[in-house]
Amino acid sequence: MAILSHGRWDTLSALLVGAARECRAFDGRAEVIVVDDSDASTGEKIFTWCQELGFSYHYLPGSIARKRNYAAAHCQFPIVLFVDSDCQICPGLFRAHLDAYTGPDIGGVLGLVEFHGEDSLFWDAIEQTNYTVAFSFARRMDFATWGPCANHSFRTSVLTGIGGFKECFPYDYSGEDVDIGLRINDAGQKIRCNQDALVFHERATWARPASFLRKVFRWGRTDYHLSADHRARMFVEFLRFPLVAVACLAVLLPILLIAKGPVAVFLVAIPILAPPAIHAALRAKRPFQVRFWCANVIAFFLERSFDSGLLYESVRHRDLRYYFWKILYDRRQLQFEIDDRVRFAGAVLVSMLMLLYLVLV
Amino acid sequence: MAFAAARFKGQPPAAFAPTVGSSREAVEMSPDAPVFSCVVPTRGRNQLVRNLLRSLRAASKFSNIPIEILLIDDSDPSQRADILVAALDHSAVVLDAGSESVRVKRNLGIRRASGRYVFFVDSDCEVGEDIFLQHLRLYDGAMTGGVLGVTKFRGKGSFSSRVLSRTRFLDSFKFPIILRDRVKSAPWGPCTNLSFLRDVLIGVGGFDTDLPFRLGGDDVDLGMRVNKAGHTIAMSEHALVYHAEETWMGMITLARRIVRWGRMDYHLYYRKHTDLTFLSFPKPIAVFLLVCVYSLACGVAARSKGFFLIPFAWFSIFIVIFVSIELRRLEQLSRLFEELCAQCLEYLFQIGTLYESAKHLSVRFLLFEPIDDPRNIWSVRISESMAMVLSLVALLLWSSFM
Repeated sequence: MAILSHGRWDTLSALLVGAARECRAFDGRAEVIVVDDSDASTGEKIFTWCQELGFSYHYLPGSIARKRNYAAAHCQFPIVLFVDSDCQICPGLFRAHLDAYTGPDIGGVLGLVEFHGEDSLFWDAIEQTNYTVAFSFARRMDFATWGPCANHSFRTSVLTGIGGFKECFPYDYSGEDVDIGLRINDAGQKIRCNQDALVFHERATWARPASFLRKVFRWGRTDYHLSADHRARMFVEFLRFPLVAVACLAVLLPILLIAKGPVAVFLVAIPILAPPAIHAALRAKRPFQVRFWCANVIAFFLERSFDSGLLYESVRHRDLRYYFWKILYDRRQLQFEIDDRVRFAGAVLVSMLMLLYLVLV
Repeated sequence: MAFAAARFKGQPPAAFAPTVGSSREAVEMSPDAPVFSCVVPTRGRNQLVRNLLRSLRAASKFSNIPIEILLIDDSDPSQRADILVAALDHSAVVLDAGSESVRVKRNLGIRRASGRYVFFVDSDCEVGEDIFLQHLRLYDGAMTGGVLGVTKFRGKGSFSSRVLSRTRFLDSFKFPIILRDRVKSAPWGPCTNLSFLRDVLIGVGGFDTDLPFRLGGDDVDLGMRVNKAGHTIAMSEHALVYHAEETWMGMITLARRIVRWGRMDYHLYYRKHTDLTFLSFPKPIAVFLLVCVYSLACGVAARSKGFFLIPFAWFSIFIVIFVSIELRRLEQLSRLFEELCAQCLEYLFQIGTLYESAKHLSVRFLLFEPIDDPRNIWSVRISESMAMVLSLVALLLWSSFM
């Protein structure tokens, strides 16, 4: 089991205890490798605990991808299990992963990750986005195209065979799990899912708005590179909202200012502010709940942060192609996404019609 | 042989035990019992019927599979004699259907059929010589209730045929090709090249004669009911039927047929098989209606008749943008015009559905879409949605200077 750490002593200490318990209970042979680049005081605590628990401690500054490759290269057993440092493992995790390697074509096993922690409006918003879906792939499917490395094991031979995790930007800190999953599948191996391999993920590390927004923006930037590296999987995507917003500001606003005067500012705000409100209302539960509606509005902007990151990277590379496409990981993805895309399309159209009406009148 | 015996358990005495194989091996059977009963509704088209009969007998001889041919005819007396002569020449049986709908005719054929399998083909078609072999070889799965082949249109390649080939209205004729690897069972298939186990047809109650209009949609409905009953409609790319183009072409005829199909679509999906619909991207016709409502409101508020042109201006801009998005590489200007005509036909279909929905006070059509064709139409709907947004923006820009 490989744990990559950078600070987070509170959650890491509980994880180390859980890992020790699991190693004792496991009826096979197992080791725990900690690859750490925390500051000196935290690093010392981690080192001490590793010594006491019989884990191997390695200090390695650098990206997450680099640490993963290092861990895979230094483990002595043929399967390496990655668990994030802000997670807690459930008993039976090792056995559940091992048992899922039912054939030589299984290159990796994806376990289930459940989020635990305090409820908050921001967490409700995160749950309304698609960002937690990948953590529950193990519950939804038998085989996955990729999965988050919060609870994901691989055959080290498979990792070596495909060149390991990419360490170049942006995979150094995000998207490395998506990329490796796609490459494993492209190499003819499968990633099996096992929901009995359960890990709990701390909500607190996600529920900080500013850092989560930065994370999501980075995911969007990474998506550009994933699209460029996996072009065979591209599929058409509906108009992304940041482009609508930019077009409204860059094209509609100047023209309406000339034609209608200062009221144009109010008019152009409609296709920018109305879609999230309408989209959230269309997603709303019955009876209408204000908190749920607010969570959906926040979720709308969280999802647009991803699109904004993609737009930023596309403009940086002067290549907007991938902005109109997306990676299709699985055909079921379309069935999963269609309702939301329909609501979004409806929201944009209705807001455009509202604007048209106001301009005409 | 054990399989064949199990297959034909409980059959009338005339039943036999054919061997189902992929080669031209002789079918072991009583010499008089047909394997396939070919049910052909006819009305006029004497020469085409004669061509069909000739091709059916040739196919039977080629594969050494005995068939019976049932023509269910309601031709005018002037043409009836020719049909009877053609039937006599090719050992076909002519049944008098009065002036009933195509569904009633086909049900009559099913009732009178004595073959294990009922093969439906239209009177303006000709079958390939190994048609029966290709159909028969797919009746090897326990759940296979029917087999759908490919229908190819043969003709001079007129303008209307080129336009039609750009629409989705010919897709069902090629389901075995375009749905290959996507589904195990065809959602439905046109009765130009479709066979079923007679028992399956009887089990699902044959064609629904309560559907409106004299023809249209019955094959869709039957296919869906066969699937819902748990049977598979296998698909054969090699089972070929050739459809005369001349009976389908002509833009006016085509337009009328498409509007009728659209009207039928309401009864099939938005009244009967509502479980086979899903939430749809906004439809251009729904947006057109909304723009009409807005324009009416603006026109009344501003007391200006110019506003009533806005929906048509929007639709014109929309369709040009949509076609431009879909036609990414313009080869010739004529292709653009064909694509525009094709899109107009698609929207004629929707107008038909809208009309029928309005008659029955239903708005379901505006929000939902059938999932009979499991291919991804996502990309077309996205192009449509983008074109709608862009056309609204264009209209906004234009109207801001009005």
